[in-house]
Amino acid sequence: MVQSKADRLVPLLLLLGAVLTAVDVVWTFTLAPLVQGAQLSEPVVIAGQMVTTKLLLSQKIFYLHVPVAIASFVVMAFLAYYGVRFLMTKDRAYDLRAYVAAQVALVFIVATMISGDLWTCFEWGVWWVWEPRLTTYFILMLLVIGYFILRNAIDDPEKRARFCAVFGIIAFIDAPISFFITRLVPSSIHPVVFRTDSGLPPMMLIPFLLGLFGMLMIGFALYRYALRVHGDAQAVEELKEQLEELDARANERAAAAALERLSARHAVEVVREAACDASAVAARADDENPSKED
Amino acid sequence: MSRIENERVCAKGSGGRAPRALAQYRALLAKDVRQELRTREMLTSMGVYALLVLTIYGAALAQVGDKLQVVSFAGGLLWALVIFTSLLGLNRSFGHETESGCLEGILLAPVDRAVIFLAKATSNLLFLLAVEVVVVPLFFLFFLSGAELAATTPLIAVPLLVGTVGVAGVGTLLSTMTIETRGRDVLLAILFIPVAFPLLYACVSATTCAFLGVEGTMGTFWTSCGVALVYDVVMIAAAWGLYEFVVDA
Repeated sequence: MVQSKADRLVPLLLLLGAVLTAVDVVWTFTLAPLVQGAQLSEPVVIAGQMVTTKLLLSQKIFYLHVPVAIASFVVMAFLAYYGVRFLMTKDRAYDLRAYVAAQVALVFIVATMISGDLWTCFEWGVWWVWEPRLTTYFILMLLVIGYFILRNAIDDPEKRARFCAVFGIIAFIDAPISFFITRLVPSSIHPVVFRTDSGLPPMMLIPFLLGLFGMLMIGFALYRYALRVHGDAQAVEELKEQLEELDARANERAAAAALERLSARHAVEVVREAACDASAVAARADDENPSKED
Repeated sequence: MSRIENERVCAKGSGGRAPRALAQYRALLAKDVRQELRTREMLTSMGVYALLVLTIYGAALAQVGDKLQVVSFAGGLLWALVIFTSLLGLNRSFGHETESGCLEGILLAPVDRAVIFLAKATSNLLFLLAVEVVVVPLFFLFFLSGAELAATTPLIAVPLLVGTVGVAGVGTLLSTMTIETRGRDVLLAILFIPVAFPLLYACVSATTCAFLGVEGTMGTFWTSCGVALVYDVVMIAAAWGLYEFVVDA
């Protein structure tokens, strides 16, 4: 049902995504130049700040961290999109899709948090700062976790689908806030990545784009895989229910048949007893008036 | 089905659609207010709870001595108080509705779902504001009576009002959802705090600016209030549109 012909391409896509990401990582550490052509041997001044070797190397996280983060925003958009589709059509397949999208989103969000925290630790010297971008992204993670808790707290599947769709849409509102907040809040120290004046040289832009497409492919492949697993699980569940129903019906039929047989046997016995009684009565009558026939 | 019928009934109504919706809104709001004035359940529990949070603040700040300036983080303390108190109130506000099938009764009546949302959000807003009117002066009395207050302090009313509107709007939607779930009190907190976080952030920023009243920070004050207002508009619009799906059983 969920599986289609295109699903055969999914393993290929996963592989391609992994290869692209691997190329991105290798390229990052071999071919991509340091910011503004700096050398690793001595500290340099970039944008009025003294930057040391350690910090120059920590910039490499950019090639992995940013693609993962963007992929998480994209998957969040799918979570909200399928929520809207569900509310429009009331088709449970969309609820399943939204649920699977939330799972993939959580994976990417956790990956972003871990890679981002490593960078924060190197660059800013602390593990965590309540900085606007970090805070809103942290909130995004809490929202997705809340989505799963809400899902588990409702038993009725129809109501669960409705509430989860509504909450998915509300949760998604935080994604664009998190994306744009580094531009909106001037005090934010998180670097702004997407801008037209960044002037990224090709040797830096290409690995970044490779990583981005690789991550999106991995995200899509994970989504399709999880969808298949959940679709199959749902199908198994439905089959199980059908089987149970059939079983119950068969049991019922057998019980009815047995009851019928019992009552039939009982009826036969009653008839036989009646017959016996009748013959006994007749015999007795014969005994009592033996002379009449003579 | 109910929606189509609603519209038909509304169209038939004597005064046309808008006045009818207004009358329904007024009736629903009056019901909530009357119920609260008779039982005083939400107001007393929220008020006492707020007082207890203040007591905990007292214990938390008891050992810091008089060198620490409470004014510098009073905005944060005040908003933590507002958020915790409103969580309690929002959990309560739907208790009556489910108790004796009241919500089902309202849903059976030909009332637009958006009107129900607005009436409920307004009544929550009124109760939250009523509690704040009592609690905020108490906060000043307990923690800021010795401090020198900046001239801009009265401006904290602006973020308080804007923030409470947002809290009531989002909280009404989420508490309608959580009321019928297992472990609803915890679930409301789990859903509400992350969703309301941007609002909280903006309001704390504005309130702190007003408390400190430093020259040149008024720009930040108005920006934060603007962010909170945008959040209100976006979230209440979303909640308004989605409420139909939440109550439509």
